[in-house]
Amino acid sequence: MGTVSVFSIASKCFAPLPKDEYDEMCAPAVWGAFIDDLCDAVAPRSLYEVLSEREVAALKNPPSYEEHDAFCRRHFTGGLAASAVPVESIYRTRRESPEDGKGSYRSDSALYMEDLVRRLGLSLPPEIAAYPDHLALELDMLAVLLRSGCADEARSFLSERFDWLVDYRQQLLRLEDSQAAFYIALVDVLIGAMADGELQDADRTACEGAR
Amino acid sequence: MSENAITRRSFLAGSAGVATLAAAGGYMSFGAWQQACADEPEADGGSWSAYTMCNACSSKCGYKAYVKNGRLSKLIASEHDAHAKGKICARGYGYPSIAYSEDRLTDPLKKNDKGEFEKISWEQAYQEIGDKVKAIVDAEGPQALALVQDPRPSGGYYTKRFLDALGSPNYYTHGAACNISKAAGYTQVIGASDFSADVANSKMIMYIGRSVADAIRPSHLQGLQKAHEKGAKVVMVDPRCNNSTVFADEWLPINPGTDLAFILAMSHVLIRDGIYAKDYVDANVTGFDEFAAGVKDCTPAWAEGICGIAASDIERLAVEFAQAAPAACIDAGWRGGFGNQYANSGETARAIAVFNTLLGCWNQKGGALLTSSVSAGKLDEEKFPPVPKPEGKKAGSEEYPLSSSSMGVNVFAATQAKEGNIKGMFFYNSNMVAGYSNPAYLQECLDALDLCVVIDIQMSETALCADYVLPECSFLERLELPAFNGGKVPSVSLRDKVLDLIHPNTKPCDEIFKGLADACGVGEYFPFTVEELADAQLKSVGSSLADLRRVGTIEFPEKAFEYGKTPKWKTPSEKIQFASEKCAKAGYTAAPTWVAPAVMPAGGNQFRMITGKQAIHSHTMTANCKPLMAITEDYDLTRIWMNADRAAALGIKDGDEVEVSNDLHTGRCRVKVTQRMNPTAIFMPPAYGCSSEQQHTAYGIGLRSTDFSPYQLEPGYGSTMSHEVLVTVKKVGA
Repeated sequence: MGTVSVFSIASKCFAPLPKDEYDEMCAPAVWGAFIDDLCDAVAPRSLYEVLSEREVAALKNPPSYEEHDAFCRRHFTGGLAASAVPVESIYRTRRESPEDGKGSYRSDSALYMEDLVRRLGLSLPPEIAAYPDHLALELDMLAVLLRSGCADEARSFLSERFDWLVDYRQQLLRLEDSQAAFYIALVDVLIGAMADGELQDADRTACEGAR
Repeated sequence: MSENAITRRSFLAGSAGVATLAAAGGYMSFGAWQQACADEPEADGGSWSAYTMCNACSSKCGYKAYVKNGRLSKLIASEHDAHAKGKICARGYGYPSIAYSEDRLTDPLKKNDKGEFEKISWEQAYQEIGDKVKAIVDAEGPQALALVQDPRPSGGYYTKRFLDALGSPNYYTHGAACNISKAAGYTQVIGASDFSADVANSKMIMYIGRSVADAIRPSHLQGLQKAHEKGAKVVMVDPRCNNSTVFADEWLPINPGTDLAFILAMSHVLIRDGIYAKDYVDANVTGFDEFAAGVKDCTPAWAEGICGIAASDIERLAVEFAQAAPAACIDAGWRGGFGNQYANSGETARAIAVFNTLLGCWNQKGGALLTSSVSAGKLDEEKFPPVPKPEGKKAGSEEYPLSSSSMGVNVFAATQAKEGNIKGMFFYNSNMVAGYSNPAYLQECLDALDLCVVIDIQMSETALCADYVLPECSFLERLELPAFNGGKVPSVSLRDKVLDLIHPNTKPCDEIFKGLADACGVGEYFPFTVEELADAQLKSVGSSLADLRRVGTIEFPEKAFEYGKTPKWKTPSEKIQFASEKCAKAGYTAAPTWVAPAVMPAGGNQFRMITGKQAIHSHTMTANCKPLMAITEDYDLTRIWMNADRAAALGIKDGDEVEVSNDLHTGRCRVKVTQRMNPTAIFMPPAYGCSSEQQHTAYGIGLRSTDFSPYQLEPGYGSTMSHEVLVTVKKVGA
């Protein structure tokens, strides 16, 4: 399931996106291409073999901007019973205080991502710079690595960074919100990609050529 | 592959050269990165440190915080900070983890029509709150607004300035649920709301309902330890054998609510036997004869029948006090015994001030000291424009005329919301609903408001009642105004910014109140930054923000306390007042005499419920803190304490699950059966019973004492009488 466009689109679904960009992403041509990519990625299986019928339906009909915005305002904010903030840190234990268990911002994953972004000469977007291990940024990093032809690095990144999505999925499942199915479906796509370990669209020569 | 304009758009700027950089070793797997971190030398060039002050309780002990890789790495207590004196308590070490908690509020919130909170922008929050405040002021006047805060350095300044600017006198601290009776009682006698026992130099010190080993300043515990080591007589008067008793010579398990009888009886002995400081009393006191007449019948035998302490012990202790005087006193206490507990708490405080006067110990070495503080001088009025004092009287000040004017009766303001007199309330760093009085009742009060705004870092029970919740950054992420501390050597300490903002959409309280003021049309009183104000305040006392940032605490030795000086008594008569006209007008006797507690347990399975501090928690403030709740779990600290004899009579064994019940609430917990407990009461640990499911660590752990407390106020003084509560206890399944 792993393609640049899949990761890129999924990334944007978890990020604070302006209305025009969100609408652009959900325009039939773009979204249709995303669904086609998903279908290609799972071939020869069909999407229905990988996702539930409800999830496929949710993916094929993305929320309107207003619905997406309402979902973000209810669930992508911290401190509420209905919070489901897509930040890896809070699903990890801290190296220096494992006895505290999960549930802290700025865990090792945040420091790692901050460092990795710096090492690769990238910079974090101001609006979510405080959360370097935000799902949107991790997915974007995956897309960037793939787009740059760094397939091995992308595979390593994929295998190391996304196992927290299993816990995150549980968090989304607890929400009493009809829109949650869409985000759960996206997470399932990503969990599938992680399980496959197969990445596509990598221009392998780019990274190798640079070596 | 179907890359297009939107999919090619990346959040991570500068991706063009990733291939080259990745190939050059810029990409590092997580495993390799972790190994590299582990191999990193301890001294990291990226580390820094700053002086700050704890926020786990209102004492604000100073420490230096060290940061590595943007995360807090260690804390070292300030040697010179007035409250820390080189030590931090368990709360201090555990509480900073709250900064990183998943339960932190990250954005301004508004309650929608379905009663659910949702994120809004700061601009929308300010605009809507401002519009509602203006509408309330236009329709009802500024007195329809109130604000409650639990004092912190910046909070105390900005909240007061904000409400003054709006013209409302209804400004409250948490005091009515803490130490209002103590402060108000002392004020009636000595014209000061507090004093410091010179414990380290004392020959005899008595603590009533206070455990400095459990709460809350390390400097106080160090004083007790020194006194103990120097051979002072230390007496602990407490229904519960608290953790400070290891330093005590005697523990007197007094019947709760009867401290007043005990003190009156000791006073009786001093006067009867003529062993009080006559010359001191003659020179400094008015109303002695009235007091003496009032305690004529308060014999030790009389007191024994009330407080359960043997008359012979009362006689002996009074004589020992007289022998140790003036290097002796009853400690000022804090909340514990008579801060807000009983129908006689204010009168108990008065009696203690009178008793200490009979010892002639004020400002004597080893006695009770009235030290002063340094405060900021006059500031440039153009830069820091003075705010006119609001007209009108604070709600509750007439109904509770003895209440401390600086604290006010906070929960009375809430009742005024229910009665329709107060329409808008602000809460800063205050969890009134869970911590002050009956939560169900207070929730009803706040539900009646047109506007309820809560500023906090996590979703407290009070925040759940709000229309708007504004997220503050944690104490480690903000600079605050200097904290001027009193003491033998006055000092000033700083809470500097230690960490970068963890959540970029949170703000420090100075910015929040400036934003609110702008939105409410009174922004002209906030034309300065917190840095500018802090610097100006410090320059007014001969220092600067830069100076204080370098050292954390600056002392003022030229203002040091001197033993032996008689203070100016700030009472109406400018004397120590054993008799108070104001108390008489409020319905008490002019000089303190016996006032019975409001309720008395009947025996059987009925007990008085008392609370108190545990060494690791400060009410609801620390309950959601993982490291501290881990200690709670390790030591099973949510258990109620019950006297072993009473437990045996009820067939209750140590560790049994029991049901605690009264008309207001029923809950289950386990029991600690011990001889370290007065038989008439159970001790319910504080801090537990959180009902905000947004607080993942605290939610549902233990019982909450306020659930069992009726809404009630101490006559005249306005405290919440938190120990005037009866409950029954029975073994589950019995």
